[in-house]
Amino acid sequence: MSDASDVLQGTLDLLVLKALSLAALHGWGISQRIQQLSRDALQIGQGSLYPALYRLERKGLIKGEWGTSENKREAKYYQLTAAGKRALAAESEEWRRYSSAVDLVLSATG
Amino acid sequence: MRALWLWLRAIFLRRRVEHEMRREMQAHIEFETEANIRRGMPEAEARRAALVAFGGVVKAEEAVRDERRTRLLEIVAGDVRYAMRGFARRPGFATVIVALLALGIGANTALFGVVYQQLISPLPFKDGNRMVHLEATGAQGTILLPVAPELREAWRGSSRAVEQMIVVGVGAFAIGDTTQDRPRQLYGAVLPSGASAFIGVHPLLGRDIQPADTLPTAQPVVVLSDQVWRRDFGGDRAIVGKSLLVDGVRHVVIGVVPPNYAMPFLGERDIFLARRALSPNATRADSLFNGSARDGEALAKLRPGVSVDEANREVSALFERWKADPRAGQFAAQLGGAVIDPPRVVRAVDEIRPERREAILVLFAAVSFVLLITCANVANLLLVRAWSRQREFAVRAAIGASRGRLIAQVLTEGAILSLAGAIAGIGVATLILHGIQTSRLGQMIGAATLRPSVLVWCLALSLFTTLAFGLVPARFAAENRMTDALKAGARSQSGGSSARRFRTALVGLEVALSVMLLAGAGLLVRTLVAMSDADVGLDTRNLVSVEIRFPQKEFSLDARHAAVGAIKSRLEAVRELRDVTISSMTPPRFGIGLGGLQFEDRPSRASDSLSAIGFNDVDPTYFSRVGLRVTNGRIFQADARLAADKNPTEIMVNERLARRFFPNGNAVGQRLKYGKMPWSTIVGVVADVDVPGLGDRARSLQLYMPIAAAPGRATFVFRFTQPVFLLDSLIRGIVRDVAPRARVGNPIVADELLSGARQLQHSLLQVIGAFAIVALILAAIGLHAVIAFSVSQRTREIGTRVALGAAASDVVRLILRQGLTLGLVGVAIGIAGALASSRALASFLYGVRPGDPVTIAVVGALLASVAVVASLPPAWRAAHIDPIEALRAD
Repeated sequence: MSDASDVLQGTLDLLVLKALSLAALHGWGISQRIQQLSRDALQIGQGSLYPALYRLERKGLIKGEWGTSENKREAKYYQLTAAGKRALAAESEEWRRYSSAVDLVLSATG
Repeated sequence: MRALWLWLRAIFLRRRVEHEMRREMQAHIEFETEANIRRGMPEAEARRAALVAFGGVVKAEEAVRDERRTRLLEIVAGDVRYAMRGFARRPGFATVIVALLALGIGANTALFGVVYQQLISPLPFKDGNRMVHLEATGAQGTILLPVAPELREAWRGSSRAVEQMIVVGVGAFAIGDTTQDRPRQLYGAVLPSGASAFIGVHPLLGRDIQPADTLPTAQPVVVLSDQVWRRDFGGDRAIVGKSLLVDGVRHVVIGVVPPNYAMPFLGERDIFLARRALSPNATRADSLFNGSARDGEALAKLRPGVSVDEANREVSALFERWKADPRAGQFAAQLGGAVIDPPRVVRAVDEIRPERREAILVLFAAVSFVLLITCANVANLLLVRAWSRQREFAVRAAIGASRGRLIAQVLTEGAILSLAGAIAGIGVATLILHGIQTSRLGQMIGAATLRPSVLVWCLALSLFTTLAFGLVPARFAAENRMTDALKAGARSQSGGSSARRFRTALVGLEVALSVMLLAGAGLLVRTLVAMSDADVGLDTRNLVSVEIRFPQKEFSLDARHAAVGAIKSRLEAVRELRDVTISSMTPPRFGIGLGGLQFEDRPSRASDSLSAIGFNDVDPTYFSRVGLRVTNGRIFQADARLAADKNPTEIMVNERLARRFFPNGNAVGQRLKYGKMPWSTIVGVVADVDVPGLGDRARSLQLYMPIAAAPGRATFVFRFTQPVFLLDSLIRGIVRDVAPRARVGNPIVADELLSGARQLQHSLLQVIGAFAIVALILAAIGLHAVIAFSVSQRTREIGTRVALGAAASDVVRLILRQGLTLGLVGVAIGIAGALASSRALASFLYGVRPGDPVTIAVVGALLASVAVVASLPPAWRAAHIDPIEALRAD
C-alpha cells in the first residue's frame, strides 16, 4: 500500500483539490476518487490523507461539513472554497509546466 | 483567520475536535467495509481488510494531531496540569515557596524601582538630560560660590552650546495669611518668563506661571508646593484664586505643584513666584532677582548633541577673558577675596547627591542578598522534594519520558512557582514602595512607583529565580538512575552525594550572605551608638533656638537694639526657660564664610586664603550657657557696636583652627583678618563643635565674633524642658508685645538636629536590619532542613552506632558537630565577604571601620550559635532513634 512517501506532499494536496473539484466528498470518497482517476496507480494512505485534509482546511482551500451519505452514514464532507478553486487552477498549471519540462529533459536524445 | 480559529478550537475544544477526528476515521473504515462487502467479502473479513487498508489508526491520528500544531502547547499544558496537581496535593509546600519568592522578588523589585527612578530614568523635566547649571566652587571644592552675573550673561550671549538659559532667584520670603497676622518664613524660587516652558511640569491644581505673569503690570502671583498647601492651607482645593501676603504684598494663588516636586538643581521649594520685569510697584522678588542679581541660579539647556566637555571649554575660555575685567576683582572682593575657580558645567542627571546614590545602591545590594538567600532556600526545598520524588521520576523515565521531558517538567514547576511569586511579589513591592514613600527613608533616597520597566524587572527576576533554583533539581531529576530508585525498598541512602554537596553549599551560601547582612547592620548599630555618644562640643540637652528677624524697613538700629534687649529680658523672666543667650546661628550650626584668612605674624599663603570657615556671632554669655568649653584665654567683651559698619576687634576660634595655624599653642593674643573683616585679636580658644553625620568639612574651622548690639537677625537660644509646641505661642506672645513687626521662626531643638543628622544611618539600619533578620531566619531554616534530612538519611548508621553502644550524648554531639561545621564554613566565607562588602558602607559609618573586628566576631558567633540551635531538634531526634526499628526499617 502507498504511504505518504509515495505521493509528494504538495502533489497530494493538488490531487485532493482535484478530487474535490467535481463534487463534495468525504475522506474515503476522496481516496476512492483519486484511486479511480489514476486507474489504481495512486493509492493514498490514510496516514497522509487526513493530515492533508486538516492542512488544506487550515489554509482555507477546502471546507469540511458533517453530512449524511446515501446509505445514511454520518461523514464529514469536504468541498472546495473559492480560494481552493483558484489554488487548484494555479497549481494545475504549475504542475503541467513542471511535468512537461521534466518530460522534455527525459525525452531528450543524445 | 481561519487558521487561528482552527488552532484555538484545537486547544480549547480539544475533546470535540478529537471526537470528530475519530468519528471521521471510523466513517472511513465503515465505507471501506461496506465497499468490501459489496465486493463479496464476508462481513468480518471485510472489516479486517478495511482496517488493514487504512493502516494504523493511531498513527493516522497522531499525524493529524501533528498537523494541528498544538503539540508544544499540549505538552506544556500537560506539565502545568501535572504540576498544579502536585501543588494541590501539598499546598503548604507551594505556599511556603511562593511566600519566600514573593518576599525576595517583591523587596528587590521595590528597590529596583527606586534605583530606576532615581539613578537610571531620565529626569522628570522636559529635556532633563540636556539640562545643566553653572557651578562655581572655592576653598578646595568644599563650598559653592555664586557665579559672576557678567560671566553668566556672557555665556548666555555668546554660547554655541546653550539653547536656552533661565536665571532663577532663590530666597526666603515671609508669608502671612490675610486673616491672621502671623508671618511665616518660607523658601521660594522666583521664576522668570519662560521658566514653565523650560522646566515643563504640570501643576496639581490651577495653572503654572505664564509669561503674562511676568509683565510689569501683572498681578503678583504665587504657586504653592504640595507640602505648604497641605500643611498651611489644609489642602483646601478652593485655594486657587485666593490671595496671600508675600513679604507684605498681596499675591494671588494660581496653582499647586505636585507632591515631592523638586526643581532641577534647586530641589524642593515652598513657593514659586513670578519675576516681573521691573515696575514702579516692584516687589522684593522682582527687584532682588532680576538679571544681574548674584543670588540667581543659572539653569541652561544644552543644544542636542552638545557634550558637557564642549560646554565646559566654552565657559573656561570666557572665564579667562573675564578674569582680566576689573569687575572680576570687584566680584571676588564682594565674596571676601575668595579665590574663584572657573565655573563648571554640571548636568542635572549627574547632580544626584553621592550619599543618596550610595544609600540606594547599598539597599539594592541588601535586597539582592535577600533574593539570593530566598532562591537558595527554595532550591533547597525543591531539592528535598525532588529527592522524595525520585521514584516518581524513575517510573516516568521507565515508561518512556525522555530526559528533556523530565527537565521540562521540573522547570515548569519552577516557572509556575516563580510566576506566582512574582505576582505576589508585585503586591509586596507595592507595600514596600508605599512604606518608603511615607517614611523618612523616602526623603532620603527618593520615592518610586511601579512603572512598566519595573514590572519587566520583576518578571525578569522570576525568570532568573526559576533558572536559579529550578535547574539544579531538574538536573538531579533527570540524572536519576532509575534502577537505583526502583530497586526494591531503596531508601536512597547512598545516591546523590553530589546533591547533598550542593545542598550543603546552598546552606553555606545562605549563612555567608546572612553574615554579610548582619555585619552591615552591626556596623550601622555601632555607628549610631558612636554618633549619639559623640561629643558634639556643646551640651545640647533641652537646647532650643528661635530665630527672630528685624527687617530693616521696619526697625531702625535703635529699635532693633531695644527689641533684642526686651525680648531677651522677657525670655529670662519666664521660669521654664533657662540659660537664655543670643547667637546669629542655630547651635550646633554655623554660618559659612569665604575669603582669605590672614595672620599678622606671617605672610599670607595661597592655601590659607582658600579656607572656608564656619562662623557664629554670639553673646559673651553664649559659651557658658550652651556649655561650650573655653580651653584657652578668655571670652571676648560684649560688643557695643550698633552700626553694621563698625567691626569687632576681639574674636575667638576653635581648637582645630588654633592647632592648625598655631601648632605651638600660642594662638591667644595673635591677630588675624578674615575676608573683609578688619584685623582682630584672638582672645580665646574654645572646643570644636562637630555634629557627627554632617561631615561638614567647610565648617570645621570655627570663628566666633561678638554679636552686634543691634543685629538684623538674632537667634535666641535657651533650655526648655517642656514640650516644644508650648513655645510657639509663648514666644509669639512676647514678640507681639515688644516688637510686633518682627518675624518669628520655628523653634528648633538642637537634639532633633543631631538625630536628623543620624537619620540616614537610622533608616539604612532599619531596612538592612530587617533584611538581616529575615536572612538569619531563612539561614536557620535552611540549616535545620539540611541537618534534619541528613539525620533521616543516616538513620541506619545512627541505629548501628547506638546498637554498638553509643550514648545519646554521643549522637547529639555527632549531629551538632555536623551542624556547627556547616555553619562555620558559611561563617568563614561570610566574614571574607563582609570584609569586602562592608566597604560599600564606609561613607555611612562613624566611629567604626568597615572591617570592624568586634562586629564581625559578634556576628560570626551569633551565626555559629544559630547553627547549633538549628541542629538541636534533629540532634534530639537522632538521639532517640530506636536501633531495632532503624535496623529493621529497610
